[in-house]
Amino acid sequence: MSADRLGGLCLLAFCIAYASLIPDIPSIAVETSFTARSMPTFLAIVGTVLAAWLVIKPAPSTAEVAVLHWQAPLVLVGLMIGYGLLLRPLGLILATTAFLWLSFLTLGAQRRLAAAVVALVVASAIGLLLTYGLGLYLNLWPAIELAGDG
Amino acid sequence: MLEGILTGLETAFSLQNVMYLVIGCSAGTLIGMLPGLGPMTAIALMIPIASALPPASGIIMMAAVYYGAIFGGSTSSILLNAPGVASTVATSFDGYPMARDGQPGKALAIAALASFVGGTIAALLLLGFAPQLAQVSLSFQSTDYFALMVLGLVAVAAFSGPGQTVKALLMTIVGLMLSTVGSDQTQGLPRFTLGYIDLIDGISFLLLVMATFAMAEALLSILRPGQEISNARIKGLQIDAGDAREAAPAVGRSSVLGFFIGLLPGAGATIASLLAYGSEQRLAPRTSTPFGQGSVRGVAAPEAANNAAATGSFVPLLTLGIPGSGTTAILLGAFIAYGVQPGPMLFINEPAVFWGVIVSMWLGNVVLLILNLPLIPYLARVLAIPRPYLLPMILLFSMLGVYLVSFNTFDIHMMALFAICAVGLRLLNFPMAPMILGFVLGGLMEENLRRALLIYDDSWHFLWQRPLTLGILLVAAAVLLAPGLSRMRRRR
Repeated sequence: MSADRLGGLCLLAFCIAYASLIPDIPSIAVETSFTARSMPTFLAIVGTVLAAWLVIKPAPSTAEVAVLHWQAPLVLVGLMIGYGLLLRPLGLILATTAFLWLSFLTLGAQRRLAAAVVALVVASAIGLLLTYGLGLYLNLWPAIELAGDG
Repeated sequence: MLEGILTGLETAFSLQNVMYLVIGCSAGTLIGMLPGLGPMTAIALMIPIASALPPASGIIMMAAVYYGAIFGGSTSSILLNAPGVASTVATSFDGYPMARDGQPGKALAIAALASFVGGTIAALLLLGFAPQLAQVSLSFQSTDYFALMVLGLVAVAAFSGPGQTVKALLMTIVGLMLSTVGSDQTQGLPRFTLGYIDLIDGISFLLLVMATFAMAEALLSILRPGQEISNARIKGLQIDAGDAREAAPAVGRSSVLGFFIGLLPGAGATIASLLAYGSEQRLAPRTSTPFGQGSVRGVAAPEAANNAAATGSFVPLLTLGIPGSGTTAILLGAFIAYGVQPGPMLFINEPAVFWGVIVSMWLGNVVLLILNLPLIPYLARVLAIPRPYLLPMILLFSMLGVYLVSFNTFDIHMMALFAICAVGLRLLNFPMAPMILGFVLGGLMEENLRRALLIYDDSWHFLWQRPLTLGILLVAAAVLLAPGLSRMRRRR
């Protein structure tokens, strides 16, 4: 399958999903014909037509989809999600150190201890800069709850 | 007006304000250079400091942060292909290939000089024509703004290259769709929030840009073996007379284009840089380096245009009180916090602020050039960081850049989702810039269309009854159809 056709199919699915959510937009009685649903409806129609066009008539010169190694990027995305989940409970420094250290190792950093030290130094520097340099009040550690953090 | 200019010179050249200008430019450049932190974050971070200063000094400093961050953003675009802001996206199209080709110093030097010239030309235009240009802007109505936005979106799709037009249009539509997420601006009705309260305010622009550019680039460089970030050391500036000759006309044209695009509310530096890139792509002789492969014009044009547009965007802000972009919207908030109301009365009530900011625009460009050119070799040392250490840093700065604006961890999860989608689409050769532009203009476009329909009593006649609107829409149609028609003519 060509890249255009595959991309067109993905975006066609997105447009159809988008269109299926339009009826969920609440409607209130207004005198104007342009409502909260008008623009989404127009976009859903145009988007669906364009995506279908790509599926039916993909550009002939487009290269085929290559097989790629997704392991490391997927691990990094997983670490990002974990960072989002643990940022508040663990505090900025621990969560950032863990994220950086595991990311360094995922991407092939050989010296584990050196990577851990770099991660800790960077995380501490960021935490201190944000908190004391720029006056942003963040949870640096799990036990410290500073006023003003969301 | 001469009296005003003298007041501006007196204000801008006071020792205190020059010092704040240097601080603002330095802070903006450093923050803007970091992937994930753009002008909006930079200005937001500087507001607590600026609020302690007198109005003229504080606003001069924040304006300096703004164009300093745009200037700095081009550095991360060129070296890492990770634009901190949408207005430097076009710079990465040729700047990054040039850097990967072992010429990062040349790319950075061209960007620095083009930004300086663009900013200087725009500052002179601003100084000379501010009141008259304000009159031009005043004559625009909602219908014209709507038509202009259509033109901007269509132009980006049309300039996307052979075989890419349908994909670019589709990505524009996707961007427009994403802009409809959140509360409807007029009626406050929730749209596409899927029951998540975090989506009521819509998707953050910064989040989308960081996820689809900085994060996606970091992930793509792992996926593609040949996509190693250049680690060449920069020993000095490598721009020769030939490069300067090639860049000069593009810089001149793009500066003027950028300024006039920038002064239109809702347009701004992103459209200016993309339009400048697109038009120079068409004007470039066939003998020069192709665009997208490290063209000198491809770096110079968007850089001149985005700096000129950043200056131009102050015209609607200062004279009409209308922000032309998200960044100038933050600046508008800062003006109001000072008790200074931008608008036609600013000339009369706060001449020191009005003219001081205008004169400091030019002075800021001098400071940026003096500061950036000698520092380029040092700034570029970021490339020496090994890839297993650099890429997680890019991801971290991107996440923190977004988190520090919203303090909401939901945004980090959204970024992960958008980054995966962006990687997939970029691997399938779908362009991201049209999506970003669609996203930026979506809300404004809907608002202006709605207002136009209200003015014209729910009738669509304004599309052909108002000559200016009709003219802009015809230009948009011509821009969209021109590439297809010329291809058909060539086949015959």
